[in-house]
Amino acid sequence: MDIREKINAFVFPKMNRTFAIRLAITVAVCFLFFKFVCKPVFLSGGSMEPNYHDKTLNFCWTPTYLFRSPRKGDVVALRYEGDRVMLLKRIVANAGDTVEFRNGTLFVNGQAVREPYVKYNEGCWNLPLRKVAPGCVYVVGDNRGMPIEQHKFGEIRKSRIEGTLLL
Amino acid sequence: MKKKLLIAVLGVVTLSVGGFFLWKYLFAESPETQIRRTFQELSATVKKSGKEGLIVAMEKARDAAAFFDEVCTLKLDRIPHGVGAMSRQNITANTLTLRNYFQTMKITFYDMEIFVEKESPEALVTFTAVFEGNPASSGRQVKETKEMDAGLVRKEDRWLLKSLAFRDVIRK
Repeated sequence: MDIREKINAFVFPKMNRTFAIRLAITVAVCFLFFKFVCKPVFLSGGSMEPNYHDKTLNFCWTPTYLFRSPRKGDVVALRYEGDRVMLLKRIVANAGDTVEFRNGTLFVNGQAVREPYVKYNEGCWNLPLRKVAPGCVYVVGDNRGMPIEQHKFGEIRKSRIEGTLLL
Repeated sequence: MKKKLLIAVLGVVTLSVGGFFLWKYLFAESPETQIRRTFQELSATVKKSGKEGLIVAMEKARDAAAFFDEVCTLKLDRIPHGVGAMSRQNITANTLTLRNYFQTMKITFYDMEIFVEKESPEALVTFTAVFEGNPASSGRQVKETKEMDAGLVRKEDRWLLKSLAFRDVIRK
């Protein structure tokens, strides 16, 4: 079989039984992979700017936390409304930690946290001290330039974490 | 020969898996499974696919109310009649009103977390409830998603809802 025939066979495959089985397996594997392992997510909203942009496509990698626990600094996708709407946030504190914001600076366990990923910060976020409940993590978006009232962040159950972002 | 062997192996595997799930379903139903089934049944009972007569609507509303304890405490802010203690009659009446208002409606439950101790007659369930409906008066689709806490009590081998409240997924 010369190269032209090979290309022809690849582009216009014969619809025989073997090809049908291969096609069915490929479709099934792709479906399972993108449904449960590497979920496509369309980012909507600017709470993670400038690190993750509004109206972009990304992938949520779900096996990450099969082998380790969520850590501070991880950017995670969180199930918010059923399994269709997710929040994208960064973990800043674990269960038992105390969290507070003073003039835009995040304090965890009384210590100011260095956050190189925060590029927009008006310095006006203030939040009284609170302790993260057992079984929960504290998540915040990277965009601190938006008013604190408009920003969805806070304590959320670990079981809500769907995975980390691939890109 | 190989084909027969493959068919035999597949048959044994299918029977084993089927038998395992049948056994689990028939004999080993945990409180969690029972509670999940209760919510699935509630969802199926509340679902309305099109126009229905008054008697059918009444029966469905009564069936839906049977999932609640004799008195159920509601803390559903911003919903008419959503706060306070409700009897099954109240719940039947409210469900009937809802069924009349919507031409189609359904409630789906996601992310269910069940906290129940073995042999305990009480359970706490947290879940996401998604309500979808088309009002009979207009074609505008209504979709509401709420995080909820539900308290359940076990009576005569059935789990009944005794409290319902909205909660925040994420708390500042």
